[in-house]
Amino acid sequence: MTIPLSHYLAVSAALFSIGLFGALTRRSAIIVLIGIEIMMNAANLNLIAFWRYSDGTRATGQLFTFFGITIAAAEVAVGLAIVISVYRLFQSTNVNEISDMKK
Amino acid sequence: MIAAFYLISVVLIVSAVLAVSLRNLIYCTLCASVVFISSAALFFLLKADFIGVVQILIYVGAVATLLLFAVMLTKNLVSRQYYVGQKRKWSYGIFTASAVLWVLIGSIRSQTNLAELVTADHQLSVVSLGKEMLTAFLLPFEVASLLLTAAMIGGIVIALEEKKKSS
Repeated sequence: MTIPLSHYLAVSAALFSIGLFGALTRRSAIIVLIGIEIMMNAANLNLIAFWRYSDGTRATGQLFTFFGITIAAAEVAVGLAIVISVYRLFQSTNVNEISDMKK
Repeated sequence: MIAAFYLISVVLIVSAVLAVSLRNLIYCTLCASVVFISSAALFFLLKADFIGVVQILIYVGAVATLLLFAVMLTKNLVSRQYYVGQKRKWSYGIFTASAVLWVLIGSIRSQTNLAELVTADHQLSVVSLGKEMLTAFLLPFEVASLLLTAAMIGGIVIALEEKKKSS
């Protein structure tokens, strides 16, 4: 007996919703970034699960996940650079206090 | 195998909830790295060994370290005000997230032919993965390397301290 595909999809859907909740409600910009990373992880899990349950002779599913991880790494590098730069300007990383483009 | 899947899933969901709800940002970051490690474990269960190793290398090795450094550099260990706005906004977040979850679970449940899919007994070697990456996926590979270079330069430029013009 094996695990059905829908269980993997359900875990991934739950992970996506948790990440969405974190990105929408938390005040710290770093936690917003962590929420976005969790959502990207859920998408990657979906891709790998569908690859495993396909006929899987080609590597397309795995390579899409690979490029997804690459893009997530680039995104978090630029995002954290922006957070540090904004902290230098506003002395805060709370997204509510950062409402002006210039100080 | 089955017990391992459910155990890892429970660890994954619980640590994800902790990562977005704890007050101390250091603990949030550590819980996020538990999320990344346990999803790498799910990749190993799905026989995607290379992607699992890449996940551990990039997410746990680079992203979690970067997040920890950002938390420590911004001296914002315990956020003074926890959530955006008042309690009402918090319940808006819960509402939106559960609405999205409801739609996703509903669409998974409506696909009855998902149960007919079974795992084929295939093993994709790293050699064939690399061959595929450098033949059919050559253009995305090069674009990804260009993107990483641009992100690296952009990160350095944005985080660089501006020189004071006084002297």
